[in-house]
Amino acid sequence: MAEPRVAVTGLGVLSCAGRGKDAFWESLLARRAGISAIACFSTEGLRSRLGGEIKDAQVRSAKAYARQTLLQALADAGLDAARVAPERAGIALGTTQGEWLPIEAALDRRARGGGAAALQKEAFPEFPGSIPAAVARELGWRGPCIALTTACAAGNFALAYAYERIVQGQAELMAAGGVDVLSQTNYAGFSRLLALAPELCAPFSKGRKGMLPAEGCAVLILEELAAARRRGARVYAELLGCGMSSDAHHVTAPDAGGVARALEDCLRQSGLEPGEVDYINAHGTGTPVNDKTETAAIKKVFGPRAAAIPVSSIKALLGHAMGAASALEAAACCLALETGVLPPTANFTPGDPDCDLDYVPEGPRRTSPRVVLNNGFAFGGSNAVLALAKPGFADGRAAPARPRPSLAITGLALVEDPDPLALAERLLPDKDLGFMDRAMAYALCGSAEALRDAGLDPARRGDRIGVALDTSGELENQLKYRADFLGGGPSGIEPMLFPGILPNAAASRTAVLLGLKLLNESIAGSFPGGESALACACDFLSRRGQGALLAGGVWAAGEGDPSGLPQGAVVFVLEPRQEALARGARIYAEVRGWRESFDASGKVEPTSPRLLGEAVKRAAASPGPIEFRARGLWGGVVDLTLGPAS
Amino acid sequence: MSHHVPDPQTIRAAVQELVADVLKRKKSKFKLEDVKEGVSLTRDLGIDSLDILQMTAVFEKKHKVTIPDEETKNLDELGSIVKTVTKYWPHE
Repeated sequence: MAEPRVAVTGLGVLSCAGRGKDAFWESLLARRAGISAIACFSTEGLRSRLGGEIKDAQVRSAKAYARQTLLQALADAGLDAARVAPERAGIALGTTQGEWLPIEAALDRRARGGGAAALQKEAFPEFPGSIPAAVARELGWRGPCIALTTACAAGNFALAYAYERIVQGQAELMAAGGVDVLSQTNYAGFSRLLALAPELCAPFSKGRKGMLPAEGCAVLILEELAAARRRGARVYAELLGCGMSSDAHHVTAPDAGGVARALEDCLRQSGLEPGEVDYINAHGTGTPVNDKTETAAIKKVFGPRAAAIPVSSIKALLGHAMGAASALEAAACCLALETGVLPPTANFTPGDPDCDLDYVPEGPRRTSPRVVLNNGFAFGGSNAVLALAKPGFADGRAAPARPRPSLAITGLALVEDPDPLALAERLLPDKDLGFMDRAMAYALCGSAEALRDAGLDPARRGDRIGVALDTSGELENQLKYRADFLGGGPSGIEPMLFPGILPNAAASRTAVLLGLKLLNESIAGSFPGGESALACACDFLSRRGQGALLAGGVWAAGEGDPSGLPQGAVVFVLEPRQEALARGARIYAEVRGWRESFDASGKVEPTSPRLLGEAVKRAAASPGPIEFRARGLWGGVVDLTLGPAS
Repeated sequence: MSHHVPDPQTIRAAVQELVADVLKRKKSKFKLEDVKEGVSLTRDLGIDSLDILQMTAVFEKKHKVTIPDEETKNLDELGSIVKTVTKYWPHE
C-alpha cells in the first residue's frame, strides 16, 4: 500500500503584519511592514527600538496566541473543533522559550531575593511543553501533542514532526506550527550580540545591519491527503518532505555546509531533483552573516541554477518571530502555491557581492510555482527545510523510498553525577566548556558516555551521528542573565550567556562540542527518560536508513525542584541494525515500534528516567517483544515496542 | 569616582590577561605570550567574534569603561585594542 501523503488544508496566522491569512498575505504583497516602536517593554540602552509587536493583542501570552490561531486554522480548514475525532487529532508547536513572560517575572523575583522553590513553582508550569498541552486539554484531543524547542527553526521542526505522525498513521489531523511572544530578555540578547538592525531590517541588502525580533503564531492543519480529498477540503499544498541537519560549528554563527546538508536532505526526503525547485522562502534574517551563509549554501546545492531560483525573505516585513518564524513562512509558502504569487523581499538594496541571487526585490511576482522550499535555521546549528508542492504535483510520482530498517539500541548511559560540570572536564578535558549549566553538562556527559558505550568515535564519524534530546532545562543561566540585566541594564548581560538560556542549548552544545552533524533536535515533552526523543530518532532513522543518533532525556531542574526526580541524563544510541552488525557493535535490544499520544486528563507523573534502560535490558533477555509506556510531565505518552536482538 | 588613565603598559597587560583567560577557557594551545602586537585574535589565535563581544563585556565591567559597539572591529589585535581602550578610558 502506498504511504500516506500529507496535505495542508488550513492556515491560521497571527502576525504583526496582520491577523488571519488574508490580512497577512495582503500585507506581504503590499510590502506593508508590521514593524513598529516596541511598547511592551523598555528598549532603553538597546541597539534598536523596533520590532514586530502585535499591537492589538489583548493578552500577551503564547498559550492565548496558540489557542486563537489554532482555532482560526481549523475554521479555515472547514473543520468544527467539536467534530474532530479527539483520539486522532494532535498538536505540535515550535517555540524558543515557552510561555516566557511569567518565567521572566519569576526569575526577576528570585533575582531580587525570592526563594528557589518559589521560582520552580512559578516558572515550571510555563515551560514550552505547557503551550500545546493547554490547547490539547481544552479541545480534549488525545493524539500526539508536543513542543519542539529548536529555537529559530522550531516551527519547521514541529511541522516535520506532525508530518511523520500522519505518514505513520498515528494521527489523522495535526495542528502544527510555532508561537513566541516578544520579550525583553530575547531582544536584549540579540542587542548584546550586535545582531539588531537599528532602523531597517533589509535581508540580503548591501550594508544590512541586522534582524528585528518579533512575535506571533502560525498553525497549519495537516491531514492525510486522500482523506482531505474525500471530504472535499481545499488543499493549499502537499507537504512533500522535511530535511534536517546540524552544523556542528558554533553556538551562534551559521555554517554554509550545514545549511546545504539540510537542503540536500530535504530534496532527498521529498523525492525532488534540484531542478524542480521553483522558489525558496529564505530564513533571511537580515544579519550580515546569516544572509551571506544562506546564499552560499543555496549556491552550493543548486550550482549555476541558483541564480534562476527566486529567493525571498518576508522577515523584512514581519521581523523574526523566533519559534513562530518558520511556521509563518510555511504559511506564506502555502499562499504562494495557492495564488501563484511570490512574496517580495522588502527594503532590498543590491550590491553585496556575497548576496547575488534573485531576491524578488521588485514586488510580488506572478510565477505560479509548483515546488517551494521553506528554510529555517537556528542558533546552535539546528537546521530544518520543508518542501511543499502545489496539489496534484506529486500525483503519479513514485514516493521516495523509505528504508524502514530494524532499529537497534547499541549504547546507553545514565549520568547522575552530582557535579556534571566537573565530570565534563574529566571526560572532555580539551573542550571549551565555558558558560555551561548543569543541563548542558548532563547532556554532554550522557552523550559522550553513550557513544563510548556504543563504540562510536564522534571525532571519526561525527558526520554520521546526530542528537535528539528532551530537555527540561534548569534555570541557572536564565537566572544569572536576568540578575545581570536587573543589576546593570542591557550592558550588564554577558553576550555569551544568551545562547545558553535557550532550551536548545543542551543539544546544541553537545552537537557543537562532539561534532555531530546529522541532526540537532530539541524536544520539550519533559520526558525525563527521553522516550519522546527516542521516538523522534526512530522517525529520522526509519526514513533515512543510515547514521546513528543519540536520543535521551535531561532532567536538571535545579535548586528547589519539587518533582523528586533524580537530576541527570539518560542517553541511548540508536542505529539501523544492519549498520550496527556491519561494524560489529553489541546490540542491547531493538525498537520494533513507537507511537505517541496524549493523556488529556490533567495530572501526570512523569516516568522515572531509569525505567527505559531497565526495559531495554528486560527486552534483551525476553523471548519476544515487550511493551513500554512512558509519560511526560505535560501529558505526552510514548508507547515503545522493544524486542531482543534478532 | 575619578580614575586616571593607566599607562599603556598597564592597559596592555590587562588586555593580554583578558585574552589569555579566553584562550584558557577554549583550551587553546596559545598562551598569554602569544598575544602580541601584529597577531590577529580571530585569524591567528582561534578566537571568534562572540568571544570578542564577551571579552569586551568582561573588560567593561571590570574596568568601568564603555567601548562603543562600532569599535568592535578594532578589537582584534593587541596594539589596536590598547589604543581603543585608552581612547574610551574615562578621563575624569
